[in-house]
Amino acid sequence: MKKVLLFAAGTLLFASCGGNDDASSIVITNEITSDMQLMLDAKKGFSKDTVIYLTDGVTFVDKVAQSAEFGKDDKPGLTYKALAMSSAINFSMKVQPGSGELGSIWFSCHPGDSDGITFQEPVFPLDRNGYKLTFMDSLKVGKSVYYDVLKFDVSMAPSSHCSASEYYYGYHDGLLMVVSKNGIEMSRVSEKVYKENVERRLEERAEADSIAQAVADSLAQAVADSIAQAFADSVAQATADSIRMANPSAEEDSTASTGDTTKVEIPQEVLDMADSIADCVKKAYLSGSLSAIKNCGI
Amino acid sequence: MLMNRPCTRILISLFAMCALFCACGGDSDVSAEAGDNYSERCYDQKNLEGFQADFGNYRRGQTIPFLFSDGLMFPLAVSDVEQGMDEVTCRKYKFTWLESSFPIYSIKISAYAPTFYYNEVDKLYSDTLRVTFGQYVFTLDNPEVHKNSTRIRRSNGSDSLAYNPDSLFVDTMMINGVKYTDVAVSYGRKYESVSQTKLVKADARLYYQAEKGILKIDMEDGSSISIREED
Repeated sequence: MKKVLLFAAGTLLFASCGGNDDASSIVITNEITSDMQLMLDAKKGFSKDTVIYLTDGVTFVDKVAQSAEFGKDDKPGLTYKALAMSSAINFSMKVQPGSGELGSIWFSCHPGDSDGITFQEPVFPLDRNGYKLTFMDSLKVGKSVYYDVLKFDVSMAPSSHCSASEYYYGYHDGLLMVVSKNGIEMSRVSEKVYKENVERRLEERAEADSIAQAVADSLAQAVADSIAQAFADSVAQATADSIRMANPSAEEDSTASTGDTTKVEIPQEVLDMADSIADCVKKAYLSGSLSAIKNCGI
Repeated sequence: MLMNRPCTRILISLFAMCALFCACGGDSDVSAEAGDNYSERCYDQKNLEGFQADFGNYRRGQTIPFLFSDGLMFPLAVSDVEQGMDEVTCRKYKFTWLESSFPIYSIKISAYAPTFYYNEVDKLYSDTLRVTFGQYVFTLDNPEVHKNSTRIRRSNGSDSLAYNPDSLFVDTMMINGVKYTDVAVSYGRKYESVSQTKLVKADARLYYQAEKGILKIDMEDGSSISIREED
């Protein structure tokens, strides 16, 4: 019996030692496909811009904040993010070397999608589940040519949560172009183009404000004038009536009968009231509150 | 000596087993009961109500015509509406997504209901929404909160506020030729960097109404989008 027990214990010890040997035989290396290695090699030449600009070339331009974190020599890798200011261009990518396998590339392309999709041991061109990743030697965007570009085409992916259909990532520059689901290209432009757009819009807004101000001024003036006119009319009419009452047979005073208001002196309190109402109308108009005009006491 | 008697040993064993069984059984019952009550509290409640539930009356598949400030008309589609109960916090939630192909927009409207309210006033003030639009974040109060307390005023070309610096109420507003009443305004914040950890003040405004939802968004770059309904 003792012999049997000793044999079993020995077997167990051997098995466990063997297991340890197997584990220690896995040497952790930063293995990666040559296609992905090229992405990591771009570390030195990567554009330092943290803000880039994309435009459709017609009406739309957006500011995109980007960050690229390259790993160190002993722990290589790349984490890239590009988030647009107002549009839903939200592109994240991770390139990770593998342990015993040739690494992976992960990307996510929607603000609400934190899961993303991972491709193990990617070799380009790659086509899996409708996702197509293609390496391009160069890509012309506007007047500039960018080299070493990876195209993410998700237009045929049935499970894609992406907010656009194509993304172009430049190894040395980050996001270069995005193609919307209805085929409109948003291309990289300089900061100058963005600033010109912003300045133009602000000028247009100021112009619209000045037009609104002019309309409000003229509206207020018209309100003040009409109050003064109404007061003068009523005074003239009252004068004419009183003359008629005092001397019905006399020839009518031409001024009173015609309601000539040029000789009527308008009291200061009436003018002040007219100015106050006009000012109220002007403020209400400029604030865009039409119902507030009703409360001006007209 | 006592333990050596088989009868005593059996009795002690039975007693110990019974005690163990009762203790375990008791604990199980308590936890099950507590769990059931907790679950009931979470699951037996109705969906969100009021401003949070009805904001914009958005329905999945619906499209709303919008106008970009530079003249581009585009449909904003209600791509998803999701509501339910967060089992961890026991809070009701509703998420609504509005999206457009171009401009590439995605607007998320989030509503979370607290687990309880102290009173009706607390309920009214808790009736808020969070709108995420690109890097902009807006907090929308129930317009009723500001209806009688705040008016938007403009002097020398800039807004001046009377009460709440983050949210205002406008009686009537014309947008693309259509008059909207009971409009509220939310002043936006934005994420400072791609890490999206810190929100800072942004020169952006969101105009909204309980019935029609989002009416207009002014962005920092001078552009805006606004609802474009027929007159």
